[in-house]
Amino acid sequence: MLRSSVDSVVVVPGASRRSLWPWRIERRPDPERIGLYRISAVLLGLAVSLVVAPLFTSTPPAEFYSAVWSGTFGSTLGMSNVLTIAMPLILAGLAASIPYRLGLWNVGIDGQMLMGAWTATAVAFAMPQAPGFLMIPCMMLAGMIGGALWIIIPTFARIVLGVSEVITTFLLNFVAVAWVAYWCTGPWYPKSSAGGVRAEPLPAQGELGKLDIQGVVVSWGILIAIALPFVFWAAFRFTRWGYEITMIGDNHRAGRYAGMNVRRLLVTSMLLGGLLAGFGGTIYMMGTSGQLSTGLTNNTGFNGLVIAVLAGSNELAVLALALIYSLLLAGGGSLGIVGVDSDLVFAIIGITLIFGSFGEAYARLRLVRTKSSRVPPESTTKEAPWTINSSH
Amino acid sequence: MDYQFLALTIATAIGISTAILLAATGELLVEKVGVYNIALEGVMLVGALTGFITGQTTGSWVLGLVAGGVAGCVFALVFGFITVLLRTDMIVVGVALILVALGTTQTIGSSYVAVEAVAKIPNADIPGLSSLPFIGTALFQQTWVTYIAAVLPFLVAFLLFRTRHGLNMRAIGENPNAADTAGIAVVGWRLFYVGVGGVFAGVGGAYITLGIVDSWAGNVTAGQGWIAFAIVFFAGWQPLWILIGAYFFGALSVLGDVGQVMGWGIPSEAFTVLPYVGTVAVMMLRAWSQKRRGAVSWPAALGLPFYRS
Repeated sequence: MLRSSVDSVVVVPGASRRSLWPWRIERRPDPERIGLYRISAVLLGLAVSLVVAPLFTSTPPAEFYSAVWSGTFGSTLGMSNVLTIAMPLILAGLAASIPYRLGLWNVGIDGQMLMGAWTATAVAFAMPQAPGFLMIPCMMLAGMIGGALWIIIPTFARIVLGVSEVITTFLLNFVAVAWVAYWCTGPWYPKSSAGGVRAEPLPAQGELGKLDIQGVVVSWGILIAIALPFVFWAAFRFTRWGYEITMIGDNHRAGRYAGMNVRRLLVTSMLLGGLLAGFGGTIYMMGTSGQLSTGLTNNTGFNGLVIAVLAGSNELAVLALALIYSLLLAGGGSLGIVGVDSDLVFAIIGITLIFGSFGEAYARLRLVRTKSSRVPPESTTKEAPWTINSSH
Repeated sequence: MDYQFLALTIATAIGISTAILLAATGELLVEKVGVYNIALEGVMLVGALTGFITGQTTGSWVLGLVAGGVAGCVFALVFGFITVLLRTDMIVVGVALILVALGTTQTIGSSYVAVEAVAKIPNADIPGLSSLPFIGTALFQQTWVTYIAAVLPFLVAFLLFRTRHGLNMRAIGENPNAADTAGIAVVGWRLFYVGVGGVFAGVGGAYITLGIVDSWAGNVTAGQGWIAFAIVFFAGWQPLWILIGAYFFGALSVLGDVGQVMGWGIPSEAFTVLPYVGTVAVMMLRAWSQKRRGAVSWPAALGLPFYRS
């Protein structure tokens, strides 16, 4: 009895395995509206995690949500916070997005931001008497250069040696933190120390002025941050460089056949990523605390990466997503008042990205029922069952 | 430098690299079947917190390590489910899961910060060998986990290069379509080894909180998962090189302590960055030498989703 049942399985090769799981995942032949599915899934993930988040804490849901509300739309201070957080986040999103167009990963944005801010601080301290209209542009320029320099080694390692930039850019973050920590505790040790690893404050004329829009106070760096996505959006559509990047992003080989210098474009997109990150760190420092610190970035780089991935190759989507995530981060930050660890918001951001992946998978793949496992396939079939309806 | 100090330094270096060695060995298995689990840092964090909490509540370091391994396995399988089954981008999912791990462990673990571990992993001197001069102190007064971690790469080498199953694994990583045709369950084994890699990394994470720093803090792994990931690359996907790479990292990590004892007068930050700078430099050197020899050593299907064709 037992033997005969085993035999009946052995007769049909592979049938025993398929009967456990009579479904197969395969590619849709014509995937469409991937972006739509992805964004819908992200919004769904956002909603789900906002509903579930209070369960991870011991705070009553009512208090939880009222804290989030007053930390965002509910108060002018909240809105100021949102825009202040958005400032580096937009730039981090761009810093990740532009290399990502070519399939390159800039995981070292936090380090580039810190190094940009460090270079800007060094310039400010080198010319402490200079007037603001001179010092501010010099600091911004220095910040860009500092950020771009910090990505040179990973870029070289990737383009020339083929070392994955994912690892090298990320590991250099730790080096940047240690470097800033050294300067904050050593040469730039503040005369009046006030907690955290912070450097001597910048000269007053080196700080960015504040805008006051009906009580919402934010440094004018936000104007640059909001303008830049539009600039790049236009650049990718209306310049030769943008066209080449877009084209190579779609297909490296086609671009090379068309006579484009792929390697040069890879290098410029990486350096541009570092430059934007350095600039973001610099204006964030100049527009908020006015002093260099190791806690300046607080994971902005990873969040920027999430934004870049979800935005696809659209700079305006980067801007929109950065504003949405700033709301999230500001709301999360205000949770500290009700005794919730504000890092919970990182988990929410991660979950939205996973939901985005689900959405994309749903758009790309479909579940196909394999030949009924109860009835054994006819033994005369020569082809394996899966070759009949396979799609490429 | 006297011999006793040198021996103790070597012992510390070996002990401190245990977590990375475990995680890197597991990651090698994962990469050999064609998947790279870039969320390794997150897996280690989850294992570290679970192991620590279990150790605190049960008072047993063995249970702590087991719990860390189980939690790491579950977390890695989430990664495996999304990437292997749903064929999504491994880097995207890895970054997402690292953020999830960072956020949830810091939130859940906030009440455990700055609490000393009650279930520290004790050293287990090997009778006879541990009383040898110099070598005994340097090598044979470690924890059980360290001994096992040091043996594992050899076992993995045996599995990969001396068994039929190892041949199948390499086939999955090199040419999944051929393996599939030969009747090997590509997706099933990929998921299985992602889970196994998660166990390794989870135990490694738990070892950090129970055996190295003896406490929990947010982001306690401090990039060790990334370094483990880099070591697999540096090792050229060879198990025994993983051993060398991990101990090299351990040596770089203790150099800071040595410098302070010896009074070299170099800022401590310079030593903090050594493992990271060292890893980047070694990766570049390795890639350069491979490029010169024209040898490509990674599994050919590494990171590519598998579709039946």
